Amino acid sequence: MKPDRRKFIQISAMAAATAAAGHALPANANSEEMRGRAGGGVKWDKAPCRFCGTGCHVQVGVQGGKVVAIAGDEHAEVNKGLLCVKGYHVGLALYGEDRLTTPQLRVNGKLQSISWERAIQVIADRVELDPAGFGIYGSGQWTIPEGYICQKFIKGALANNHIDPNARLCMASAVTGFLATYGVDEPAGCYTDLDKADVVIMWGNNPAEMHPVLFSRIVDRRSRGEEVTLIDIGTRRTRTTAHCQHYMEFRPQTDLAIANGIAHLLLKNNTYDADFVERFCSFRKDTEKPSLFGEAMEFAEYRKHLESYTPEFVEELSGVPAADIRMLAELFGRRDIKITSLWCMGVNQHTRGTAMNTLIHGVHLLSGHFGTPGDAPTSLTGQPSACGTAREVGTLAHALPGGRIVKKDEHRAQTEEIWNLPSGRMNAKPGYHTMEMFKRWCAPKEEGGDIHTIWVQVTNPGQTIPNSHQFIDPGVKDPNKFMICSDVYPTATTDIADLVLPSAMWVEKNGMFGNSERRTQQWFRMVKPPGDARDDVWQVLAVARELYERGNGSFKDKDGNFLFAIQDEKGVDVPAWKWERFYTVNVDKVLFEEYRKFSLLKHKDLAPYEEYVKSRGLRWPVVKQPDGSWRETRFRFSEFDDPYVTKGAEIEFYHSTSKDNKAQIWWRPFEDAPEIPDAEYPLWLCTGRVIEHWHTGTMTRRIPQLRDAMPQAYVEMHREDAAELGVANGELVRLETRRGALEINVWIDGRGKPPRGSVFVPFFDERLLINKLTLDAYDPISKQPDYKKCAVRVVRLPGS
Amino acid sequence: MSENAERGALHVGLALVAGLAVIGFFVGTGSPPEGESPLRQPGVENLEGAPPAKSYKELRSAPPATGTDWTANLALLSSSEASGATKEQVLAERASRRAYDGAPPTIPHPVRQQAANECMSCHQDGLRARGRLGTPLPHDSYTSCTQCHVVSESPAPGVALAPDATFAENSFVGISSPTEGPRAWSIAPPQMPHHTQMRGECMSCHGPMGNDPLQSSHPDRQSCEQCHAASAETDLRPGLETPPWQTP
Repeated sequence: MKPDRRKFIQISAMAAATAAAGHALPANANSEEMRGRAGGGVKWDKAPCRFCGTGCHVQVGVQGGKVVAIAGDEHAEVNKGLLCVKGYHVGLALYGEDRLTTPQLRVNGKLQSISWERAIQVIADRVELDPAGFGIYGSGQWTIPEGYICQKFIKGALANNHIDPNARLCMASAVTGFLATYGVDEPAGCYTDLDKADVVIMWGNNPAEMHPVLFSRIVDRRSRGEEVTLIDIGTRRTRTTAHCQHYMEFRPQTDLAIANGIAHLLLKNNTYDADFVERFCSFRKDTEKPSLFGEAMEFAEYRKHLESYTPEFVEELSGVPAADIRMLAELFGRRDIKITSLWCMGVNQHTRGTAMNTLIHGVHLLSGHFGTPGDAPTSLTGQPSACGTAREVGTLAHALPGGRIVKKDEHRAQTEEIWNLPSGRMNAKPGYHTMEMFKRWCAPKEEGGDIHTIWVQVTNPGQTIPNSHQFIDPGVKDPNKFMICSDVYPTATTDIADLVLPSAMWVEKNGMFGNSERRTQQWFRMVKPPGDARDDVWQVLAVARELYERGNGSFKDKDGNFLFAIQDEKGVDVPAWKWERFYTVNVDKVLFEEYRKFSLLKHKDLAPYEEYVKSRGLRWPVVKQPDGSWRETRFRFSEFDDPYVTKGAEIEFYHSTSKDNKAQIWWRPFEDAPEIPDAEYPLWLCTGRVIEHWHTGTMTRRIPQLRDAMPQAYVEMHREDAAELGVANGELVRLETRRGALEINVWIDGRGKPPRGSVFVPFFDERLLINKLTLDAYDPISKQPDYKKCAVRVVRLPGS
Repeated sequence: MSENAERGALHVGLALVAGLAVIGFFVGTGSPPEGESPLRQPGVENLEGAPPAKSYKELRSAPPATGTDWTANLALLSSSEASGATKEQVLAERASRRAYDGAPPTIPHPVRQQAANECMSCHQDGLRARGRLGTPLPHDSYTSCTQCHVVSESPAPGVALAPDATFAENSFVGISSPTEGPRAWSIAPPQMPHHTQMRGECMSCHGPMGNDPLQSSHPDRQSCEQCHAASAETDLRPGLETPPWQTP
C-alpha cells in the first residue's frame, strides 16, 4: 500500500524538525518514566480562587483524584498569572485531616454521627415545627447556585424572608451606598481603572494585605516606569502605607469630615466640575429618620451645609493637617489626572457606613472623576461571591434576585412568575437581618425570640458576630433553639451547633462566583469530597424534597409540581435529590439558567451558562450581539462602553432614584461614633485581617505554610502607649471592653503600627475571640456592625 | 499516470533527503570517540595563548581558566563557592520551603513587617554571603514581595498558645520537584522538567548564583529554550477530556 502523500510529507517534516530541534520522539526515552516524574500526568483546569473578592483565576493541577498544584492563570484578565500567598496555597485548604466527613447530631451535649437520611429528616422536622421561625444564615462564599436555591427555599417556599448572608457584616453599607447614589448596586468601573489611574486613594483600606493582587497591579506599574501616586487615608500604618507617597492619619470616624473637607474646597475654589454636576447629578440629604433614599435638596443648600468644613475645622476633627486636605482637594480639582478611590471594610464596617460610602461617590461625582478609565469610585468586596451571591442573587432579608426587593408588589409578582408560584404566595415583609436574626434566635420565644432554628452555611458566626456572647453563646440561648451548620471543618460555630453537616468545598463541587468587578465566574468539580461530605446545593434540595414528599404544600409550585424540580437538557425530570443522581445532571447549570431570567430588570444581564464555561469570567451586563456573540461591559453608565446608555448621553444613570438619569450627591455630616474612648476605656480598638489568613482562619490555619507564617493573633500597640503601661514587646496583657475581656500578646512595631491611643487585633484566631469584645452597634440603614472602633483598656497582668 | 510517476519520484526524493538528514544528525551528534572532543581541532592547540575550547561535559568539572595575557568574563560566571551539597540535598532543602513544585517558597529568614521592596537589595541580582545564598529573582520584578512569600516562623513576639486540639495535620501532597529532565540520548540537551511560570529566568537557579548542583555548565549561553524545550506534560495546558461533572 502506498502511503498517502499528505501523511508522508507530515512524517518527513516531523522527522526533519525533530532532527533539527534535537528533541522529542526519542526512541529510547521511556514515556512511562516521563509520566511518573513530577508534574507529569497532571490535569489542569480553571477555577476562581476560593478566598477574597478579587476573583483571581487559578489553574488547579489534579493528579490521582487529588489537587497537587496551583498556578496563577496567565490567561485571566483579573490577575494575569499572579496570585497571593493564600491563592497559591488554596489547594491545601481541602486536605486538613480533620475535615468533616459525616453528619453529626448533638445528643446529650455530644456530637454523634448519623446518616444523611436522618439528618435531612431532622431539618425537615425543624422546618415543620414552625416554618415562620426557620432562618438561613449564609455567605458571600456561597456559590451563586447555592445562594439561589436557599433564596428560593426561604422566600419562595417558606415565604418568611429570614435569609441573610455574612455579607451583611462585610459590604451591606457598600450596597446602600450604591443604591442611595445610583439607584442600583455595584461598581460602575472595573479593574482596568487600576491600570489607568494617576492617583489611587485608599480610604481606610489595606489592599497590600486584603486584595494583594489588585495592589500589585497598581504598584507594579512603577516597575514599568509608570508614575502613580498612592495616598493612604488610614487609622494605622500598614503594609499598604509602605508603598504610598502620602499617609494621612485620621481619628476613627472622622473620615466623613475629610470627604466633606474636600467637597468644601472644591466648591469654595470653584474647582468642582460644574458641567458634569449640571448634567448628571442631583443633591440629596437625610430625612429626619435615616432612610436609604432621603430627600431632594438644592445645590445652594448643599453648598451651605458644607460651609463649616474648612480645612482647619477638618484638621481639628480628624487630626489630618489642613495642608493635606488642601492637597486632596487640589487633586480632585484637576481635570488632567485620573483618580480612583478604593475602600473596603474601613468604610463599610462603620455606623456611618452608608453615609461614608455616599460621600466618596459624592466627591468623585462633584469633581467629575467618574466614568472614564481610571476615574472611578471603586468599592472592593471582601468575599469571593459577595457580589455574585449576596448582592446579585439578593440573599439579603429584604431582597429578591436581580436587584428586586420583597416590599415591591411587582417585584414579588415577577419572582412568583419565574418560580411558577401561585400569585400572592410570597411575603412582602422583609425578614430579619443578621443581628436581628441572632438576637431573636438567642432570646426565648416569649421575649420576642421568634427564630427557633438557623441553618448556617459556608460561614462561621460563632467567631464573627460582634459582641458574640450576647448573640450566639449557647450559655445565653434558649435550650429549645436549634442550630444547623454546614461546613467543612470543626469551627467555633460547629462547636455550638446541634446538627453539623459535612460539605463539599471549592473544586469538590461545581460552582459559580461573582467578583468585585461584576465578573461572573464558573468552574467544574475536579475532585471528590472526602467521606460522606456533600454539596450544599444538594443538602437544600434534599430537605426541600423531603418536605415535598411529606405533603408540605409550600414546596409545590402552582401546578402542584415539586418547586425545585431539576430537569436535564431534554426537559426530563432528574431525581437530583438522590445523592447518587446529583451529578448525573449539571444542577448548577439548571439553577443558573433559571436565575439568569432575573438579571434583565436592572440591566445586570447574565449570559448563558456555557459562555462562562468558555471564559475566565464575564462582567455584566453581558449583552448578546447581532453576530450571536456575548459582549461584557467594563464601564457602566458610560456611553462608550455601556450598551444601555442612550446614544449621545455620554453618561447616563439609568436607574436614578430621582428618575431623571442623574446620580445623587449626598450631604452627610460627621457624627460621633457610638462609643468613644473615655477615662475608663481610654483606647480605640480596631479589628481586621492579615494577609496570611482568610477571615476566621478555619481553612488557612490548617495550611502549614500560612499557619506557620502567622500562627497566632496579637494586639498591636504604639510603643509609647506600651511604655506608659509598662508592658514589653511580646508581653501578655488583658484587653477589656464593656462587653468582654481577652488575654493576648502585645506586638510593638508589628505588622501594622497604630498611632498613640489605639490598638489593633486581627480576628482570625479562634483561640483568641476578639469578637467577644467588639461593639454590636450598626449602621441604621445598612444594618452593618462597626468592627473598627470601640473603647478598650489594656490591663497589665499581675506578676508580669 | 504521469502524475503518479511524478509523485512516486517525489516520494523517493523526499525519503532520501529526510533519511540523510536523520542519519547525518545522529552521526553528527552521537557520542564522540573516547577522549576526543568534537569541538577540538587536532593540531590547533593553544592558538596565541588561548586555551582549548571545552565540551559542555568538561565545563561542568573544569570551568574556563584565566590565561596569562587575557581575561575571560566567562570565568567570573562560574561558581566561586561550591557548597559541596549533593543535588538530592539541595532539592530536599528546596522542597522543604514549598508546598508543591511551583509554589512560592517561604522566606527562611526574618523580614521587616512593613518593608516595601527591601528584598531586592539581596534578591535583585542574588547574593552569596557567609555560606548563605540569596537567589536572584526568577520572575519579573513584582514589587509587593510579601504578597506571595511569607516567613516560616511566627514574626510576632511572645509565648505561643497551645495549638488547637482539634487541628489535625494537613494531608496535602503536592507534585514534587523534578530531579532532571528527560534526554533523547545520553548527551542530548535535557528537556525542561518543570513549567516556567514565575520562573522564566532560568539563571536564577541554574546560573552562577544558584545552588551549585543545579548550575548550568554553560551559563554563557543566553537562549535556554533554544535547546531545552518545554513539555506539554508540564506547561499547564488544560486537559481535553470530558468535564468531570459529566461522569457520575
